[in-house]
Amino acid sequence: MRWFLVVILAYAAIVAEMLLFRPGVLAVQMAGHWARPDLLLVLGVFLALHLESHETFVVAWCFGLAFDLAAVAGRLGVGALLFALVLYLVGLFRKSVVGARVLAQFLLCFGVCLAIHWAWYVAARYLEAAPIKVWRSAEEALLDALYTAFLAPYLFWLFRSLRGALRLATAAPAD
Amino acid sequence: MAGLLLVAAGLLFLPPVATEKVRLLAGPVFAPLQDVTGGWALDLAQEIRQGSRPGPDLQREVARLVAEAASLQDALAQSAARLDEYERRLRDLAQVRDGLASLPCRLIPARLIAPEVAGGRAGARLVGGAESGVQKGQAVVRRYVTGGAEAGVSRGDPVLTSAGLVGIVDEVGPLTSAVRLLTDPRSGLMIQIVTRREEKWLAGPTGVARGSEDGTALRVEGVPRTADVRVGDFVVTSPSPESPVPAYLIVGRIAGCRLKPAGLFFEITVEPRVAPAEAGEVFVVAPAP
Repeated sequence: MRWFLVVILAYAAIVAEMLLFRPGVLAVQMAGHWARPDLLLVLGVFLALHLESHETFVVAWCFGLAFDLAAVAGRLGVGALLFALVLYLVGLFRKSVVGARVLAQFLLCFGVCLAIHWAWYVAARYLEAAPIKVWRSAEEALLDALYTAFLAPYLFWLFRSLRGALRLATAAPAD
Repeated sequence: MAGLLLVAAGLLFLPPVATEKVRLLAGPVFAPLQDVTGGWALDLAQEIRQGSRPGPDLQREVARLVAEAASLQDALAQSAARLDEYERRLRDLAQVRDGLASLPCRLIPARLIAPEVAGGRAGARLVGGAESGVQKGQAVVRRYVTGGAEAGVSRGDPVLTSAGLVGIVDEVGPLTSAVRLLTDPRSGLMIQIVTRREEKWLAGPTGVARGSEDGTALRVEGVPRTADVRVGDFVVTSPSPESPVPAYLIVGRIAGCRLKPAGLFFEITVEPRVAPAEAGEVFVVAPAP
């Protein structure tokens, strides 16, 4: 695999997220929360369906750290842990996932984003000594997950078209 | 893999100040491209939103007049509070010199990016750091002038009329800084309420404003039930010498005002004058060199 292309894609995803999906542009305000898609997470899910589990773990850890660095709240390391563990699990079960189906991409990204963002919001509040608010965190994560899931099929299509350039060694099951 | 898990676990125990410093050092990695194109994206989004409505010229004119009226009202509220303060100070000439000494200031132009309400915090990044003179604790303001801030304010301009407070510089890096937005639950800002009764502007009671728990508004504490406050009254930063923020900057307007039957204080909700999502170009208020 061409790792430098993955780094460029990840960087582009973060910058696009902060540039285009910022409040006032394409971020959607609902229930007092600016919902934004997690483009980096979609890239992580895509790679988890194509890489070996141990490779996925390392890539996801790095993505998580980038997520932590770009955030305004929370401690460093929370995103790295969550991305690494959840995407590692996705990698373990990738043979059972029909990654080429739009519905599967939608549901997978929705579930992964919901799990990671919910845990991240709760952890960020807890580590900042703020009221934890489990349900409020769930509401915020749900909005993020929905937005991410709606964009996921388009991003999967984009990443799939770059599969040759990325030289992904392991083909996703049912591709 | 175990090593990475240990590193991540170790990062969790970094002190918050160190975490923020690391973020600020990494900030320029993400910020330069946004600095160039962030305003463009925001302007384009506003253009598209305005363009999709019927009668764009009329709509724009109405929006401009409404913004101008709001701006003038803000300026009047600030001036009223300032005049009240001057009247008090005139009684003691010795204090005038102190008051004037605090007036000259320097405005450092900067750009606010990535405003976010997440994890019990409301913060944003500021493209502008120690190298441009930004220091911890300084106020970040946005000025309302018809024709844009660029036309009305230049570096070193000491006039702050009708400036809306956005937040306070929380941490400073070499090129970027972290801003704690007014709506952050950890913020505690000394404020004064300015009222308008029967065409007269009056400096009202003082209190402490804190960000609401959802990070979208402010709650004012310490305003006694005997005070005359209503929805729509203005809130400005306090002139108290104990307040670290420059005095008379517009914070917002009262959006809700409740009084419990046995309560000693009002429960006041303030809508911030500057929506962080709209605050692209800002100024950091620094003391004169």
